[in-house]
Amino acid sequence: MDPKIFLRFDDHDVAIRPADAAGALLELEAPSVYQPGGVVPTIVDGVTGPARFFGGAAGQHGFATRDLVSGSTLFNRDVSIQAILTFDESLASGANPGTIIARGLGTSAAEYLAYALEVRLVTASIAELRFLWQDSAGALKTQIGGHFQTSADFLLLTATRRWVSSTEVLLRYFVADELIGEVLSPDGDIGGGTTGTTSIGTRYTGAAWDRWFGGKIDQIRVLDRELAPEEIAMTWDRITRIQPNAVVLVRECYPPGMPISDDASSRVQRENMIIGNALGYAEAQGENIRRNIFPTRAYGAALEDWELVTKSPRKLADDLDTRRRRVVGRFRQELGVSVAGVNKALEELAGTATSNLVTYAFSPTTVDTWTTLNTTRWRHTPAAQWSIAANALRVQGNHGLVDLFAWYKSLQPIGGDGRGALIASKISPTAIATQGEAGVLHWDWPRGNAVVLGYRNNAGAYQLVREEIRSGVSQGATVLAALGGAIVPVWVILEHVQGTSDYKARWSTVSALGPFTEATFTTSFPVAPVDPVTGVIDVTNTKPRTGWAGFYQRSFSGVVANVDVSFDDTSVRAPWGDRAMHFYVYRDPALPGSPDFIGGNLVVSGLKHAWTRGAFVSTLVAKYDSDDTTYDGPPMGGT
Amino acid sequence: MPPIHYVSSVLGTNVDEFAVFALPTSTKPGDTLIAVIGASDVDDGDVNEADLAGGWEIVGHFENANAVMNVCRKTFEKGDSAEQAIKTEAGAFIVAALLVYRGMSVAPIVEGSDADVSGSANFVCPSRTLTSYSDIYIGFAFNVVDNDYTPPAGATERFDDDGLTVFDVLPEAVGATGTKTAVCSGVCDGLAASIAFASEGIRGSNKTITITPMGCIGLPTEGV
Repeated sequence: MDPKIFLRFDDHDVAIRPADAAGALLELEAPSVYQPGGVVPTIVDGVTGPARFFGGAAGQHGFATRDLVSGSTLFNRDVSIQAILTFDESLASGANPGTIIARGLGTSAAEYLAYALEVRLVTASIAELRFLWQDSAGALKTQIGGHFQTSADFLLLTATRRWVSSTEVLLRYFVADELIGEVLSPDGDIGGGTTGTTSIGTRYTGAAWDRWFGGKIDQIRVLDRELAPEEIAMTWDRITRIQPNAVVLVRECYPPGMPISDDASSRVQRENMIIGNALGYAEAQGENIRRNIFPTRAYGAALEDWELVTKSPRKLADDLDTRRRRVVGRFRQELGVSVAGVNKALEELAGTATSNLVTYAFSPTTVDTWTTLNTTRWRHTPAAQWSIAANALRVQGNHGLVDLFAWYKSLQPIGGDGRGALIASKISPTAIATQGEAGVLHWDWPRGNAVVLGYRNNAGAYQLVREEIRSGVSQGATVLAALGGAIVPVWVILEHVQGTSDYKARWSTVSALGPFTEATFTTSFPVAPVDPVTGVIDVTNTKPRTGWAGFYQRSFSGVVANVDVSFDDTSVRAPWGDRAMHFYVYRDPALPGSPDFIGGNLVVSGLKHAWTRGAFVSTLVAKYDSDDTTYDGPPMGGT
Repeated sequence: MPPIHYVSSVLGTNVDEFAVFALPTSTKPGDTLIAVIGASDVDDGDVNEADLAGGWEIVGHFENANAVMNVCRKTFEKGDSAEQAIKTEAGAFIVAALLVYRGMSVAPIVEGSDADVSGSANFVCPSRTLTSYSDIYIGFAFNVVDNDYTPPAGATERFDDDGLTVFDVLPEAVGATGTKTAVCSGVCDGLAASIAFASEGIRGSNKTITITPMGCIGLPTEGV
């Protein structure tokens, strides 16, 4: 059974203790069984059968009971209370509200109010329906309710509570199918204990039964979930339109003039009613499916099916609106993986206008003009030796470091696959002492493999050289060009030729636009790796394992040499690197609204291309983990 | 609907003649934004309705020889920017506050007016005549010397900074509310104003269940 408490009050004899059709509560007793005061309500006609009359403060009618299994009705998160009742203004006692139902006496932690629903007369013809509960310390939290116009007839009142967090609770109040109030409460600390005495028509206020309800209560049900507005509307429609119309339809099936009794209590009319109501009930279930099958209105089993189809699994804490938005988000992918497409797909889940979302889609090429020292994408070691001077990256050092791992270096990661990687830059030396060198390189850090293109001073002669370093050991440098006896700037490009072990070096002493001289040379890379499982050497592996590209400064012979060099107009391209495979949709956490990051990332992972990484994020600090590096760092390198 | 209820408030900043507000994160579509801008320069700190954009409107303009206070209103819609800005004449305002309310009607205000305060600590906000039990009384008091206030008895203070205080009262009654006096921490001059805002309509009454035929099961055990 869906409701956890279901009180029908269909008893025909006041001596009969009403039972809970859901089986969670013991039989309802007079309140005096649990605390002094209060009498059992009398039986009156309701709209679904017998009902109970509560006479307000004058009559002091009420019920009280406890859980059949202690704690089974302790709902201190989501809860929905629905009742068919009348509210008699003449029985309302001044400022005192009348309690519809309350769970807990409020006297101790075991009896703290987990929920209570009451109706208060605001003024003639206007009443307020409102929740209240106690927090874990016992403080009473009376909530803002919904105002509605009263009536002498039976009403369908519904109140739902959605617990979001310890500081946010969403309350909704309905009369019939109309929302009369939606309130966001900060009182998310909700108490209640396993003992929890449930009372109907009255609430124990710590010293005595009070808050007597005035009116008739036909049925009450309590659920431990949030009723959807669509459900409430359908129930209302069934009771007030579909079933009554079906009864009329059955009655009209009799041939005109057939002598049957018009008396509603006659057997024939009662049979008509039963048949009509049964037909109407069936029609209502079908109508419910027809109206509420779409994910924007679905709930219950229908919504679960949508979640299954779209692979949008729910977590227990996910509320109805969140679940619907996620399913809808999975459908809104008609624009594909474009900036507009991704933003459109996140429209429901981002909780803000799509114009507030910023998409970072990374290209395989980075360009640096060095107006500032970029330390997120570049890793400069030692940091103190690298600076910005005249809009260029400058390194200065006077040392004899020859070890590859000790060189002064400025590097950015180019992903786990260095195929086709390229670095282009202007090299402008201020001073390169003899035995000193600076230039560009591709580097596989864990293995100590590198290919360098350097500007060196070889005993007073400036040269452009290329060199292969394997496992930290030089394989010998080759002079590509003689640059003369004076320092001149040179524009260089060092590029891996895809599908080969070759690298191509290009250089120009004229301008960035050339003319360039080029030389292609073959390296021993990749060094055939040994398969750790079979021990077979894989000679077919043509993938260089370069992970970094950038600049260096060193002494190529170990003799201390002062090297002061600037680099500018730098481009690094890694067509097979991971960078190009990443995109992030950023939502500023300071924006108002309630984003669903879990749902948003489900949408992004569902629509992105294979082999790419996309994410819906609320921070611009992300970690990068490449197969070719041994530590996590910011996605563009750095520390 | 529920009585109008307060959600949150923020202090605005002065950016290039604009009073700029970063909306509280608890703001939801449908909420009403009430911006209050107070200035000592009646001309340069004023708000010109012709300069308002993005759905803002002036619902209260109060001034005397030495102070001007504008109360502006807008409904926050889905898709609106999280940062709202209101242009002033020359950016010479002293204080700008934004308050967020929920359940407020978009209909014209019930009524509003102000009263001058001269050489007094009592800022007497005028009485308002409410026409519905869910209407709200919002009082405003502004001085140019940065004195703060104690709200009137029975009122809830929602903002108090830089010489401006805003408080509200929900009388749940129709008719005259009576004046509400905010007591300033010092004798000074300024403006005391009040505006009554209407809530969204009260529902019910015609949605009742008359006697249904026997066999109706009423509330469901499963489904609807």
